[in-house]
Amino acid sequence: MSTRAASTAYLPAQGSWSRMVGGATVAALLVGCLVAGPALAQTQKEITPTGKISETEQAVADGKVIYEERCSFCHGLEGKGDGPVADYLFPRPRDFTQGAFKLRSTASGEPPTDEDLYRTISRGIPGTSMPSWSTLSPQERWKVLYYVKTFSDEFDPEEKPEMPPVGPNVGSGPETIAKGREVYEKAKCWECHGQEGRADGSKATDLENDWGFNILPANLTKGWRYKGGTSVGDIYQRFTTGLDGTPMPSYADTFSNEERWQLAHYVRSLIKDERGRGTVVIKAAPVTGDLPTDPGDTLWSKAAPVDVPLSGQVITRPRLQNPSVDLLTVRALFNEKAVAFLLEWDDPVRDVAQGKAGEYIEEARKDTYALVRPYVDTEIARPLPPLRDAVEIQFPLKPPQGPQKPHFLLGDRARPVMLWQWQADAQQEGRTPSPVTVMQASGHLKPPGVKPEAQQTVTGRGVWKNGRWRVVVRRSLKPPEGASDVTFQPGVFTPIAFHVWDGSNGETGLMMSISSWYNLVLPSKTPIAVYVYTFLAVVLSGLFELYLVRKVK
Amino acid sequence: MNRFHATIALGLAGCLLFFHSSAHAAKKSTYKAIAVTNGGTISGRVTFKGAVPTIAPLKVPKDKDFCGATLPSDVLIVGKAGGLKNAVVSLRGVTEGKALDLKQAITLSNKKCMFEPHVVAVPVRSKLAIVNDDPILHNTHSFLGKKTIFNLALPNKGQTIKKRIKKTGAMTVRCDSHPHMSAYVLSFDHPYYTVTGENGSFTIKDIPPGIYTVTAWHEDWTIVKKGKKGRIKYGKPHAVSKKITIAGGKTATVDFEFSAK
Repeated sequence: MSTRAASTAYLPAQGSWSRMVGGATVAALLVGCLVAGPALAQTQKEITPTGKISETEQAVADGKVIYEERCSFCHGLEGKGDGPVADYLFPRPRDFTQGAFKLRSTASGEPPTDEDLYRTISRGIPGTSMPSWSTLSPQERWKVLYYVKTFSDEFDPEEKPEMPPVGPNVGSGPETIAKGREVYEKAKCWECHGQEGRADGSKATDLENDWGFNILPANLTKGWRYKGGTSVGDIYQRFTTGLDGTPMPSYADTFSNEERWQLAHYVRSLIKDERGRGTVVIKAAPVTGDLPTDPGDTLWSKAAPVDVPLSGQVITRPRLQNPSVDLLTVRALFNEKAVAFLLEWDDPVRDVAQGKAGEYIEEARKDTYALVRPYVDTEIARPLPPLRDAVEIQFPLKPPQGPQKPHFLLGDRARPVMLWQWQADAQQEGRTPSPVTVMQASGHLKPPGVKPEAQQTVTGRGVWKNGRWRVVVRRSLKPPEGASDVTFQPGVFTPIAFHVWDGSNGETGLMMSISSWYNLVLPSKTPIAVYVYTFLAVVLSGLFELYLVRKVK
Repeated sequence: MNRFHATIALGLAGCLLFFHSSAHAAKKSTYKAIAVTNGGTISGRVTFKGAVPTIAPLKVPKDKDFCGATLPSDVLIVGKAGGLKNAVVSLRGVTEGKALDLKQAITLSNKKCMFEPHVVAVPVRSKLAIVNDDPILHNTHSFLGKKTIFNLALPNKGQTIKKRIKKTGAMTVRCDSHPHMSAYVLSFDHPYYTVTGENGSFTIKDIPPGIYTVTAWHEDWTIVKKGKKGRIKYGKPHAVSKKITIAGGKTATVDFEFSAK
């Protein structure tokens, strides 16, 4: 009782409460979409609908109350997908009045079953603002979905939806996966989804959804982006039924049940597990001899990869709410002279040109393949393509004293940061001395300053293949003579952060994907003295204790 | 004279609106099959009046090796003596008549990167056979308004998928893989419809005597918007309607004219 009183003491007076709720909802939803990235990655189990109740008038009426309380803020009171926060969401909430639903067990163009809707409500839709409604009891979920069905006359109680031909799972294992790969070839999945499933197929950037907006195929390696679940059964269902509202067609009548299961097993095998999850330390691995200059060098397997989640830069204008790159894999190697990083990320389009600075026109917003949303600072027009792909490593200029690090977005006035930016266009043009530009920034209010040529000693080389950039960035452990830049010392933790740009997503300048601070450490070899002294200390204290014992006796 | 034109324009606009809205309404059919004896016939021609606009060839954005860089447009095909191909003539508001032939084989092919035929008319609840004659991936994606009716994958040559058409109306068909491709499937809950051939002539038989509205439909050919990816958006389809009296055993003649304006 007392805790309750204590917590309500912070609530504002009655009158402003509803406004506060509105504001809080918007804020919560915005935060929700920003963190909706790899952070949501988790093994998704197949959901089994339970406790079905009958579709009575009372159930629909109860559902209406739940809907208006929980769903209408996004989906609108009339189910038109036009709730008060709809404009702030990407993708926009579904308009229920059209009766088009992606996640179904029914044939192409048919409305979903009650169980399909139950699964979507229970699971939520990863990669979107639709959360899991596991907070609703099963009865409440049935009620609310019965109400949702009333928005469209596609749900005809007299006509059962047509079901596609389905059959039992054909088993798993490497053989099934290998056969699935053959189906992937035959079904021409790669034309859109790419040879390795990274959404880089030749037709990937030509697609539109049913509402005429550009749409990209799914990157099949990113489990956290699967809208309808990552179980083999879920995947089997997705391409059996197709995703209505998108160009993804139904393969129900195209391939046999066996082939479709094989394909499902293959696609499931494309999902990459995240590595180094939860760690904030990038441990460089020691190398004797030269550091690799090529991203494909086998030496890289010595370094433990760390998957760094990225989100759009939304701290200051111009903001990027729909970042293309949400994960960067980092590896580091070092020898007695230098340190080298391997940075890898998925990007379906290789952008190796940069338009003239300042060519900003409103029309350009429509040119990017990205699903540009109206709320992306409408007054700031998107830059004209072409824009380059780039990656940047950020270090504090001076090693931080104590726990205070520079601001993670480009530092601050008291604590500047160094930026090493590799640019795809610079490499393409063969810019000298290096495609990596060394810059210094003291916050995001002023553009970073480029360091004089004597200090441009960071080298780099990137290779783009099958929808993935692999870039090597190298420098000596110490900055060149007389230059102020980060120094790497074995055993010392150096804060490190990353920025990535996808040019064809309209990303440039502050419109970029960013990480928070990580730590880079070059493990130092433990000198033999450490072991010797430890041993001596143990022996000495033992002797001293013996002496004490004797003396007391 | 001016008033006369205005009346026609209003009438046409009315028909257009009517047709457009009816395309979205998927109402339950009330059509009743009866035995028709001594039925009447409608025949006539659909023609294009005046100068035929030149329609630029379609630019092929993908699979140019197979499709070629451009293909002749199929949205407006005018034959000899102004005969308009691919117009759909149908009776409106028929409540009873001969039974629908649901067994007839109607095919929509993906052939040389075009839909063949470009306009298909089918009885509702019949099965449309969708065929891929090309060795490349096509997906046949039909819409009623903005709602997907079906979206089927045909990745290889020789594949056929039979799909039951469950709604009436004028469905647009496209291929997401090849934005230049387009077609129409018109579905009716009665059997009194036909698609005109090269010379624009048509015949509809076995109509129970009575007064009917007969409508000629043709898709629009003016480019409203050219998409970046090669998809062309045309205006709303045109429809011209006329009242006609059908007498038993007789042939009523009715002609329709479309023009560039």
